[in-house]
Amino acid sequence: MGTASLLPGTLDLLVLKAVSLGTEHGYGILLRIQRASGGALEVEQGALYPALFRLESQGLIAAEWGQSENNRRAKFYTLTRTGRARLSKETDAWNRLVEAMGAVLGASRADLQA
Amino acid sequence: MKARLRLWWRALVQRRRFERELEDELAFHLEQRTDDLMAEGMSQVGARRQARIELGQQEIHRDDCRRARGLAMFDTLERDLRYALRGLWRNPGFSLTALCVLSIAVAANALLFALFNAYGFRAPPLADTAGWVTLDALVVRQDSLGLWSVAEADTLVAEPPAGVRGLYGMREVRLPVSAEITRPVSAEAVTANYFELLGIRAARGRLFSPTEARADRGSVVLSDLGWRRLLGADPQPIGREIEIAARRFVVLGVAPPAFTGTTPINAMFWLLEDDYRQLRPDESDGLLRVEVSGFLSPGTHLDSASAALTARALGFNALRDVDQQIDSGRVEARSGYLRAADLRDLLRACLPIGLAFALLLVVAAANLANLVLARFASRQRELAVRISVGAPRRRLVSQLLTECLLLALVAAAIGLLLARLLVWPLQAALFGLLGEFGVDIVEILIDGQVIAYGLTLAVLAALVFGAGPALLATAPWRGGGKPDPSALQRSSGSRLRGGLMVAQLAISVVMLVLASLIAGNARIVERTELGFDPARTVALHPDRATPALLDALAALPQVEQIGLASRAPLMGTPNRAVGLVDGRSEPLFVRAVDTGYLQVFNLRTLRGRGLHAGDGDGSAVALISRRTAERLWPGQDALGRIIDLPAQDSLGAIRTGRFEVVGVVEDTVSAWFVNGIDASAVYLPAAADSPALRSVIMHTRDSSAATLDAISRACVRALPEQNCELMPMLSAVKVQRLPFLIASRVAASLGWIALGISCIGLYGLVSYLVVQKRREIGLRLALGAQASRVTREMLAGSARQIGLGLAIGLPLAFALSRLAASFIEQLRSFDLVSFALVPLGLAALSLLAAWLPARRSAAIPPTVALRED
Repeated sequence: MGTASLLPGTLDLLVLKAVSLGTEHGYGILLRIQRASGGALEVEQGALYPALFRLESQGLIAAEWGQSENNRRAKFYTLTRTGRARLSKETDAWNRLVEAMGAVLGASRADLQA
Repeated sequence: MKARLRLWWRALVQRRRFERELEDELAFHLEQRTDDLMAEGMSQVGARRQARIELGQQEIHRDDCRRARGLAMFDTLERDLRYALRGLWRNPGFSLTALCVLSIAVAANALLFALFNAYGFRAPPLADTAGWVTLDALVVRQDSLGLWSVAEADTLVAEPPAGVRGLYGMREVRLPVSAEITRPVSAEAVTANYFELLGIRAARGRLFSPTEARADRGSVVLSDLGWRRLLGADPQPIGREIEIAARRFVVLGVAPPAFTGTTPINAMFWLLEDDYRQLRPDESDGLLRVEVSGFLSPGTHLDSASAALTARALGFNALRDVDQQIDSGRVEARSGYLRAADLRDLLRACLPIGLAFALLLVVAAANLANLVLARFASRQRELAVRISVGAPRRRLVSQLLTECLLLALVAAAIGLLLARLLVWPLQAALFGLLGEFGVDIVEILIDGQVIAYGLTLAVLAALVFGAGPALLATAPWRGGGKPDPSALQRSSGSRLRGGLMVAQLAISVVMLVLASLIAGNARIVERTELGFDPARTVALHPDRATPALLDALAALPQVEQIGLASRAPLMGTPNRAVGLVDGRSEPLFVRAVDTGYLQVFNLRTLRGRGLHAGDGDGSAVALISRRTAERLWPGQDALGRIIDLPAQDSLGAIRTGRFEVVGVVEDTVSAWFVNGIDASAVYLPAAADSPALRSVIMHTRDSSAATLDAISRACVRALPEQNCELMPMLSAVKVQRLPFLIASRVAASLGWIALGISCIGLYGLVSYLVVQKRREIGLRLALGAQASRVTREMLAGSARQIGLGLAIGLPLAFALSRLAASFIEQLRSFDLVSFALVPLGLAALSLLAAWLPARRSAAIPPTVALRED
């Protein structure tokens, strides 16, 4: 399976989702997204950090410095309550979009005439 | 939102930490990725290289992260500031001139504002100034918002009209206090609820209280100043006695140091209105001297409160004089020490000087705009380079504005510092003399409000002199893209610069001519001969000069001679009357005097005789001054002539009838100083017990404080219920000269500053033109043009501007001086020095300022000029 580039505006949603799975550092979040997509989504590494800063500034995630599994100092991100609410809202919106897109793309002439 | 602000603030104040953490986070990412790649079988060097490639351009990511945190704006600002600093540093001539010009203008304006701030805007330290109002009686005939009589104030305080609550009565009084020396001091007579309503708490003892009003009779509350001056800051002041107007008062308490009363004059003490009425029964009848203030009821509008007051105030008219009839009442919000009406008077009086200061700021701003314009225009190439590497016009404008703003802020700082340094000498010059009379004024401070005003002014000036030039300088790039070369040529804004220069010169002409006129008038006042020696002469104005007082004064060894008059000299115009002379009506200044008066002032008799001891007892004789004689009977002998004074209101208690002129005496200045030698002076003899003689003038052995103290004591003892305010004639002279001195000094300094600014501007402008035209000049010189001709042509432009400036400024100055003269009749509104010499000098100076740099143009070696590009 080849890799697909991200749709504009979806990085924030992916990051929120990845962080919602548990406290993680930036690199870990990147891996989570890649693994969860089965390697299909390629997140541009440099774009991740501005996204994390942006989400932190919006109060959707919180950051704290700690130790990584191999004892390196790393910055860990956690989802805040506002972040959780935003994630569920955005997920719903996304699902509706996917459904609608799917419906349109899967439509046949017969469906439309019915 | 809160989280965002917190993060932003932390990043801003702990910028280094923010950068370090950003660095650490990216480094961690690289290390983790390297580990993973090595685990996949890559070499360490290869893995590290691959990790870096995957992460991409780190500096761009860092910038994105900073922008995400909202730091980008500050980074730009910091860069702009640093760039601006470098630019200003590299052009010290421009920077110093601009700083000088603007800081002087800011300092002058800040000082003027500080004056208003001290009296009009800074409130006394009340518990709550919200809703603080003063009740005024509008008397149309007097064109003033007046105070109330004692009875009216009592009624208002007892039953406040609808819309106001908590009213108190207060009047400013002067009372003689006998401590180490006896001298009149300023105090406030107040109703018992004064302190309670204003929310003032005692620093020591207690203050008057409405529940103790009866018990508090006979006691005073001292101000901090009073406690220091009258009791020598005694640590146990409560219960001590003070002698006020020959009566003993007990000290009840001391007010906090910050509270000096509710008027601009610092009160030494407060006494109860009821006590004051006993001390001064004469002042309690019809005189309108009581201020009634209080607080607006919550939810009430000033207009409705005023309407309610009007309804009440009209009821007072039955007991008022005809010319004191109230037309309406007005409730005015109170913001500071001055009542709204007094503040308006102060504003009106200071309007001309305020305008002059504002003009100075305009000159400074115009000058700066010129300098900045020239500087920006000379930077066209730099701007073009920056545009061509992709800077948007907006960035350039903001960059140029930052430069002006930086300049303005530094200038404001210097200007405010200057104001701070000058505020004390200024205060001493303005009010030092009042201190000699025991009048202390609320201090003028450079406080937060003044600083805010100065900064605002500087920032506004920066916008005015920065925005225009910045837009002009970048105009060729309007709408982006490549500019049209002709637009580049035009954008140097030469026409605007010329216009600004002319405006500056015109304002300088106006200010200098007016300054010279004022200085000329001040010199006249300074040189005016009084016609008598004011040294060792002291005047006293009791309401009645009783025999007891005269005996007490005569018994003093310090008093050498006593004279009596209806009004002492330099204490206002004598009684103005219309006399009949040879059938004509003549306006005359009349003064009733006793025989001692001529001796005290040593008035020489020029013709005929002086006054004899018996002249006051019914004999109808008069003395006149030399000028009066020349005016009434030019070229003839005045002796034996008759002056007929019919009965008239303006003469008061002075005797009327037919008077024979028996002597002619020396001229004197006896009315206001500004009026000069008396236009007319008629001396009518009066008996020592005449009610017309209300001023006592003494010639004393010396003018020491001990002598003045002895006279004060004798007066207070003889007339405890009278006003025993001493006025040494020398002080009266000083007081009357003061406004002229101040006006001429202020006007002269403003004029010189404006001229200095204009000359600096002209010099800078021509210098800039020379630099700009170097190539053209070089070429012409190389082609054989004469150096003197080149210089002349460079000068011609400046000469046109100077000529235009004079052509606009001179008529304007003339019109303004006529206007001023219409207000003050004695003011001389034209003199040759002001209207001929001053403009000539100004033209010469500004031509010199233009010639100095123009001369340099001729010295440009053609080779150098041509090589430059």
